[in-house]
Amino acid sequence: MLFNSISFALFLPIAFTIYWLLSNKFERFQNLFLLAASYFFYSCWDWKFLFLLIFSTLLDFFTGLRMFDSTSVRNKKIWFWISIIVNLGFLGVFKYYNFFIQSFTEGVAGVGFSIHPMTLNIILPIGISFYTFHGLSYVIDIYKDRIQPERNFIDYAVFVSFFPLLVAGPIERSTHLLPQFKQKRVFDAQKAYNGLRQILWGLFKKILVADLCAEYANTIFNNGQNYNGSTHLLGAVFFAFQIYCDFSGYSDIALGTSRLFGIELLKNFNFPYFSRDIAEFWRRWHISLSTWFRDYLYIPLGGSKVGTLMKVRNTFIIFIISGFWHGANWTFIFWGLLNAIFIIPSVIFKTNRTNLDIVAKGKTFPSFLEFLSIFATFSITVFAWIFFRAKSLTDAFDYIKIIFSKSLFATPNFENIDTIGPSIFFIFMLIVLEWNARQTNFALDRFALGWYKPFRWFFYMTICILIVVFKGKPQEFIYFQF
Amino acid sequence: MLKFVASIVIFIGLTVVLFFASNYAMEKRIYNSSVFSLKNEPIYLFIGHSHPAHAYNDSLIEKSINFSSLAESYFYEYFKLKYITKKNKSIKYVLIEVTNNQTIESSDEWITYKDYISLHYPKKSSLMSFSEKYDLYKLNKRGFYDAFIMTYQSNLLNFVQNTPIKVTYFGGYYPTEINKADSILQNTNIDSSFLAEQKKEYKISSLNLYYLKKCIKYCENNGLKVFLIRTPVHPKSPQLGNEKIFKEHLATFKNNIEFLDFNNLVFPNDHFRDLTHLNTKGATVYSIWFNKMLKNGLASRNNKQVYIDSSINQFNASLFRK
Repeated sequence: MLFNSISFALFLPIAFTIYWLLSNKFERFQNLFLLAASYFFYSCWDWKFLFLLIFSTLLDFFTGLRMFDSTSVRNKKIWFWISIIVNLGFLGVFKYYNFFIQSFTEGVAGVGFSIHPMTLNIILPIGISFYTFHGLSYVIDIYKDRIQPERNFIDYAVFVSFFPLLVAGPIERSTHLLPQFKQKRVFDAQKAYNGLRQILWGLFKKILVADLCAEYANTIFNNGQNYNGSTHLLGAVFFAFQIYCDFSGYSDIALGTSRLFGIELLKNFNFPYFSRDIAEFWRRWHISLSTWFRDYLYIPLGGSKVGTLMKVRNTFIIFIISGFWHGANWTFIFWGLLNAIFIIPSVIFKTNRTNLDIVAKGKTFPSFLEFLSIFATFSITVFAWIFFRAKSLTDAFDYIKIIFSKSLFATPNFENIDTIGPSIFFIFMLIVLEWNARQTNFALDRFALGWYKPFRWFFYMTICILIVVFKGKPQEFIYFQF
Repeated sequence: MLKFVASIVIFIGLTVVLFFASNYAMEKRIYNSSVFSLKNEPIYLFIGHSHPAHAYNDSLIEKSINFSSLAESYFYEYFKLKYITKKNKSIKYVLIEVTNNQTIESSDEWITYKDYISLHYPKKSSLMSFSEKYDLYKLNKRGFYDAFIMTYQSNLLNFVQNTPIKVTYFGGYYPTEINKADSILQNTNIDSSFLAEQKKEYKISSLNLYYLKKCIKYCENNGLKVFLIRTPVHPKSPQLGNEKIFKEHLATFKNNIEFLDFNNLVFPNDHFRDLTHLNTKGATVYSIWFNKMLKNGLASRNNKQVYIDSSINQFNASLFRK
């Protein structure tokens, strides 16, 4: 059940109505209903993997309790490692088994041996990377005595499986989300309207920018040799907008949907393409994953309280693992490595926390220097996205070779792409609205709120109509594969 | 909560109203376009599918206009016919193409199949009333929905970009330089395909021919003289395989509906796009010849087919002399 599908458009109002009707009379059933709705939502993808989700939930729930109740450090450690090994084991088998086997075979073949190992036809359970990380953070927090375990299984299970965040995040923390499930939720119309605006903005990004850009980007990336350098460059730029609007659009829909149910999720994107350096970009892109790695990997490795060399090592580890988290392919690892290389100079020269404030705060336009910084950061990000999108490293290098050929200065080729005009228009609209809203949570958070109501409604209605009109075949969200 | 739900319901309702109102306005813009009120005051109107679209160069046939469109069924031709004749009162004669492939059951797919709906509905939706659209919706709900959205999108883009509406919007003479008849004849076993077509058990179209009859009735009710015509195809065309059933069916039409058959005209292979369509070369020769026929009073003669056949014999004889 995709967020941009008719089935979700039916599911959401039904779930919303039952949930709030229940809360009026049987508030204790709010979480039970949310859990049932979430399991139904998940089983619409593949009901067989629901058992894996339930098993993972049970495992972390009981190991959390066992760890907390352990009277000895040894027992606590045993329960902790059981949870870690089983969680990462599932992730390893489902996501990385074939990758390791194939890489090993190729490596052995490189030194003259030939082996025929067994590869498995494994289907990746949707959302496994996200709910595994949910569970891991919970278990680690209990182990580190940061939190106490949840003793109500329903509350814990909703924390892991809450449907808006189940398949592609944001990766929540028990300290942030669990307390919200422990409280009675009361309907707040203003929050609900705000949630609807965020859903609308998410759909705008997904359908009107990401899916339209995908047509162009897919054509170029899948038929590389037929196009010139400038077309390749535009293809990479379009992919940069596609991946941003695809993932942040999903996050907006997730946050908005969640707000309709009275639950606030962590902000996952904070206008990353307006970043002035790569460190700022990583503070604004997929925030819930970046902070997860910061808190559960970077800081335990010593964080920034170690020498420069160790900091460089830690940065490389974080980015390479982050790349690997995205998928079992060398392209993702290289993408992570590339980002580490981009960020290392600022780590060495301690300039990685220079740009903590909002760009051009209180001004309409950025200064020339700010504009140049934003442009440069965006450019290197686009360059790195080529590795993220390409099917293999060879394809990525071939793609870059074509960009930096003489044909870079030729006219781009828009043949067979009917939607190029609308794509450019919607990208422009995205930039203008997000720039205008960079001090808020999302583009429509406060935009148009001061307008005369009929104009405001007309604006929202126009977006709704454009979404319906330009919605082609629903495209899966890119991050579902992770 | 109730207020919230009510405002959402009102919002959705108003959005639906805005959607349909804007769709109506954009379709009206096309419908009211003045380009379809033709300045040359045509007397003859050609409508049909790809055969006449490729064959009748209306710039070579005096006082005529060709509004044929590729792979078009009688369903859309009916709306077009009504619209063009209303806008151009000078039209007295309507020449509707009837070919072997339009009388058989598979031609009904030209109306009901989703690819055909997507191909034709966006251009002709402005000519259709609500009930006519609903008829199409009932035939293929999903196909209609997709085409409806596609229509809105293209109308919106045309409106925003202020794209001028051309006279060929609904169809027109479609020249092509392609010349593939020779290669098709060399590379395929034509005789066996022809035999295979002959052996097939054909069923007569119900839906497509229903709209042909509606076209005829409309012409009769509005004082327009209607001719069913058949444009020449290559004599080796496998489409002629169902000739027997085609002729039998034509005989069921009312006596006052005249069928003018030009299929016996012989053209060299390089005058054909393929085995069923003339190319520019063929269309030029054919249109000049057809213009002569009209100037010689074909439309008002008695025993038209006798005159046509004798003219065809002369044409074929002169061709062989060359």
